[in-house]
Amino acid sequence: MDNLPPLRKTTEEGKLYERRPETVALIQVCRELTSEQLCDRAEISARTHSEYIPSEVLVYFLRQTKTHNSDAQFGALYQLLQTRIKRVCPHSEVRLGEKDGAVAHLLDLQEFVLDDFAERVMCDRQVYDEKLDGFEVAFDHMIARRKHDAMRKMYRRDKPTTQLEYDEDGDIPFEVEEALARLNPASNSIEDEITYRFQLQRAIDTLPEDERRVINMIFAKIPSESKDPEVQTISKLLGCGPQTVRNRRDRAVKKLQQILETEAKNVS
Amino acid sequence: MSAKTDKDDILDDFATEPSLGPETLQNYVQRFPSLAVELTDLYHELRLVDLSVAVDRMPLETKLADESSQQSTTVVMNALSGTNLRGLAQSLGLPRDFVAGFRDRKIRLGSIPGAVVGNLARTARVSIHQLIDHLQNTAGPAPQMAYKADAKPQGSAAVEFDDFVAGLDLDESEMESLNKLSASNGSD
Repeated sequence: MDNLPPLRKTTEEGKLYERRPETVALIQVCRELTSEQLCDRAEISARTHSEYIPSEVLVYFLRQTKTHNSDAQFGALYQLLQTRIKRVCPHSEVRLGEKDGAVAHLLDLQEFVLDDFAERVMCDRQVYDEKLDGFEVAFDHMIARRKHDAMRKMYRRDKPTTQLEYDEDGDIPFEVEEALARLNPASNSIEDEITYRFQLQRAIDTLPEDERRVINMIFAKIPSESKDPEVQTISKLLGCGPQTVRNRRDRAVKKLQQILETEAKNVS
Repeated sequence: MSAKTDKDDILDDFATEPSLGPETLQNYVQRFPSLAVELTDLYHELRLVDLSVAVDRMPLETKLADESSQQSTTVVMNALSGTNLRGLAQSLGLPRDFVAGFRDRKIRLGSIPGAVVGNLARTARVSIHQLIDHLQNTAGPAPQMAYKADAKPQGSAAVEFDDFVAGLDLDESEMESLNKLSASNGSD
């Protein structure tokens, strides 16, 4: 059993947030290090390196520095985490509807995330702040979560897209996964599979948000429609008709096929 | 608990799920249909992160170029100097030496109440992380001239925040302003 102070935030179901077992194990190992050794190891940025310290562990040690008399360790760890945040939340292209985001917006996005983290850290140094607990559980996800939050705030003026949809008879002649799987290069290795999935997710990222949502919901096996009124369907969740869902799916699949085909051609 | 908090908490819970697959999204969407769109968008972001991390683990070691904190220092120095310093001190209701102390990094960062850092950054229109960068940057420009020379010129030794404040001899209204600056404004 570990002797780490437990996290205090609880889930909606009342369960305490818990650090991952691998995080706890590594914290125990790193507790044996001197401050200098810890900071040296923390500088390793390659996740493939055997001595790489995940950010969740660094957040734990950062929070412990509140009792230190010196700022040295706090400063070093804080800088490293900042660098890692910039890596997870780079100046990437953000779309506003179907247009490219302006450069000024891109800067704001990273600033928002960095600032949000900085504020939580500073508050936590004063009084324990449960809002920082998630960063000890899944750091990269929490940064992505804040980035997502920033995008929502930045693009709040985005109106829901209610496009005029035409009706078509009959079902879609192919299933999404099936249609896209044909573009998956013969998966000889896990690396190929991961690369394909990454390319696919990035391609999905280029879709307009109404199409992107439909595709992600389909991948989550949420039914497009159902006769059972109790079942949450894509059309119900997005507030549009089943035909609209099908049309969005069609358009999205066509675009994804084009993108992935181009990428496949570029590789071969 | 407010509806906003509930929503944020649910999205936090989702982001910290130990295993995040399509079935996790499906489960959450069924439980919280009113958040279906936000959960789906967040799921997409998280998948991108997970996959890019997975890709990151595959290639050979690549070093990220270290980003200098010099840029932050320049921004903060500018915000806490000259006419900006005067304007800031005035809007805070505190003496200029208070602001100059931050500009010249006279205070040990760890001893400064978090709310002071946050509120000062907001008032000075700099980012909190930039202010923190500046306060802990030991390789920045040399301290500038103070408005009062009632102490001998200091080297780089930073003092505790409480000692720094005590040395300013604040009057009653300035103490009140400081208390206001030290209070959390509850913004998200």
